[in-house]
Amino acid sequence: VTFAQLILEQQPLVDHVIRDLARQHYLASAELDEFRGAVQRALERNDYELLRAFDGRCTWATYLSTVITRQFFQFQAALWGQWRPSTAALRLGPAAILLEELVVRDRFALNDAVDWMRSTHRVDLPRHRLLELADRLGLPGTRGARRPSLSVVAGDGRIRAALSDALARLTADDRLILELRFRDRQPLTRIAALLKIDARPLQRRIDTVTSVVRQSLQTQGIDVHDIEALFDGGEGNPSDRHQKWWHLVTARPSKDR
Amino acid sequence: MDARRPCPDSALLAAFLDGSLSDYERTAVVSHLAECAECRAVAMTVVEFREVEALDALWEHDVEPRPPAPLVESPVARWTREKTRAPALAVAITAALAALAVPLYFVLPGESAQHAVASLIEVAEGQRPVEGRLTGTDLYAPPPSLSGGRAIDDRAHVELITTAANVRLTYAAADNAPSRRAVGVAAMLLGDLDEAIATLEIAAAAAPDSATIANDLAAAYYERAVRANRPDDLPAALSVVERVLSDEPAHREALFNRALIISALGLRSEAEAAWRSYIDGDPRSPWADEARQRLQAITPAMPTRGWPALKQALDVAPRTEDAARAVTYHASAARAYFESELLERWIDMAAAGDANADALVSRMRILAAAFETIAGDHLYADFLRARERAWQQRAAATFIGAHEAYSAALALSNGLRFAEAIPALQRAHARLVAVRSPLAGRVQIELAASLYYSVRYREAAALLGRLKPAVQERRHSILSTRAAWLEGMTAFSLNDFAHAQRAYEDMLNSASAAGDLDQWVMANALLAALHDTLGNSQRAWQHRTSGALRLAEVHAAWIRSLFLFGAAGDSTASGRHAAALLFHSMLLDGSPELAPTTEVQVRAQRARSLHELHREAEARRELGFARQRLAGIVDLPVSVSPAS
Repeated sequence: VTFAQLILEQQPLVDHVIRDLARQHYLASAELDEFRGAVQRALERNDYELLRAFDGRCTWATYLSTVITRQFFQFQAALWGQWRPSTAALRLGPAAILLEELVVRDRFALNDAVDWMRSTHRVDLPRHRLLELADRLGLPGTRGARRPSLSVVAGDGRIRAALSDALARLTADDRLILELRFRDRQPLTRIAALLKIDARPLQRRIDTVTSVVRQSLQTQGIDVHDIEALFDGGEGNPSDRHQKWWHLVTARPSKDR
Repeated sequence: MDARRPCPDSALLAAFLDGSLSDYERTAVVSHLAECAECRAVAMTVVEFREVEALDALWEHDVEPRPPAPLVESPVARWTREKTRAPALAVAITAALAALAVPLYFVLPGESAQHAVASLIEVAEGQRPVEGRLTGTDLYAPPPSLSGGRAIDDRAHVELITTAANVRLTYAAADNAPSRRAVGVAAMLLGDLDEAIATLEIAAAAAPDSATIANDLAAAYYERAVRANRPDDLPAALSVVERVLSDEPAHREALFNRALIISALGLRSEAEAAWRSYIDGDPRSPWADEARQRLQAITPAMPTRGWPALKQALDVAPRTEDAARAVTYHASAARAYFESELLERWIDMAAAGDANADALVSRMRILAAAFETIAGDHLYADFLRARERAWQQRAAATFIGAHEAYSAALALSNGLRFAEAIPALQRAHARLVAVRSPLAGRVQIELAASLYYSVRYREAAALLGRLKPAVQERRHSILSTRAAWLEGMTAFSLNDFAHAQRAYEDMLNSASAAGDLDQWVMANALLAALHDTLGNSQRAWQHRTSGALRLAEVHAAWIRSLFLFGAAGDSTASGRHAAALLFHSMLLDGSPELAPTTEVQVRAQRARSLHELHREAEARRELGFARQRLAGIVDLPVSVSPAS
């Protein structure tokens, strides 16, 4: 079977993945066509270099999905610049993506962004729902970004260093679980599917790991009130509260920043 | 500078998503995902696709049950699905045939068991439900695992299953070797590997000279090893196939299977040789094309030979990139270089008041920084910080003196003079603590090793119990790994196997996190030996095959020898003598620095295996070599210390 034939054989799968990506990321029709062409060119580039790299340790379906998704992020970066919606915004839907885009990328003030969305983009969500979305995204100008205790501790380099130390002692799996849960806001079932573990005890594992982090902070001499401010000072559901300290500690250079 | 390792390529990430990576690779990918939001987004998107697919399938099934569109699914995925479906379908067909009570002798195309197998192979034309090559399969069909495999026609597949079920039912009660073989092959094609192996073993015992049966048995062992994650079947498979080849060196199917088995054992260069040997005997058939494809797919080992050039660069004018490369790809060698060369040289120069000592420190600083940022090991950087502190406090002489004591005590321990080393190490420790040098932890490891080799296990265990949390706290990864190693060995000697297992697993994780390949391979060897002792051969060989994959990249020759020695020892003990011979050859041919005592043991073991295989002349020659080497050993030294 030649690589050209292989592409032909796998075309339905390729189309399926492209369609799903377009759906997930709300591509316009013209963008979808452009991306389809980009994938085709990428697969054929350098005498099917990408297909030759397949080493048989996974299924073609997984391999092609991974390759095409990588291509998509490159395509998206070329289309919109390096900025792209956060995973949390993607999970919260198109209104959240648009709101984040306006506030973070285009530097709108939060209230202006909300007005702009309701007038120009005809988003028919009530104002308070949009502000709630902004709060959940932790956008500037929201309650989440204004919490005094958090900003005080966030500015304290000693606490930041202690948190980094505490996290560095966790296993790689636990660190990844925390990233996925608190930074990317992924559901437990999907985290379990990625790591091939049982989803049921996952919440307990997360609780255990966070209590380990808390203990580690205590042993490093961090004031109990500061720790409480980090872990318990927030409102809303427990995941939101945890996300606060997670964002504090993960404020480090990384590709998406 | 972003010190994070580069993103894994799509093949590696996809293999992670399909759960087919070794522990070492998986930990590396998970660590990367925890750091890299982009790769995490890719991974989670693919996971989400699967959820959507599963929901779509569920929805479609509820609305209108119909088979999935054939082209959406990859050939590999289809193979996997069919492999899992086959037994259920076979059971149904067998039950239906039994219910009909048709006199099946008359249904089958052939009358004898040989004809039955021939008819199975004929029906299987264009299909290959197993990776291995059954005897008599000249017509080629692509295997389940390779890309570009031809899609299977569902009708042909059902026909094969029906015929196999017929054969199995017909010859189940017949009690002769050809009938047993027919039943075994049918069971294998139906995916019932346990029964296939049990039946073929009986057939092989009844006809020990039959190359046909032995080759099919090897294929069945291989299939179970890869499909049911039973790598402990691989030495058995190799032994059987080697027996075939000792009688018929040109047996094509056996040569093909041998190469498959050696590849699965993770022995890359030996696998390359085995595939080449197959291609030499059969250069033009489609089987040879597959052999070439498999040969190309063998990932070349990361060359250890890159290290000397890198070391030279670090010696002459070290750059940050060189240090980063050294720590990323040659962590073990870079540690040895830091500890045994740079540090020792600095101690000598500083003690002699050599003005170039400071220049050496700036070179050490580059490597220490790379260890700190890339491997997360703060030991060497902390040492340099302690030195600076001492200089600022004008306590340089005390600092240098403490490290001279460290160097002298280590020399005693490395010279295996444990009785003198123990008090010297204790004194050095006290002096290093006084100057707040982190090498105090290093000395304690050496002290625990000396206590261990002096059979003072409980003292060693108590010392390690105190030391391990302290070095973990300071993130001195290498000390943490070495402490776990010694803790495991001590617990093993005290027959506390559960503790030993925990400690070795800690060592494996810690070495993996620090990217220290030598220690990682060693941890796999230790865990394999532990599981051998506990009688869990499957776990033991899982560790061996995953360690073997990276064996060619190990810097320390003695770790490689120890790894192979364990594999050879278990193969000999379980009667897999042909497999043992392969490991012996690798030990004797590939380890120029083999310790004389180890060589004697290897040659004696090899002589036993040769004797068991009735190769008496070679066995006598090996014994002669062993005696000769033994006569040359004056004093039996203790084996290598883990701290050194």
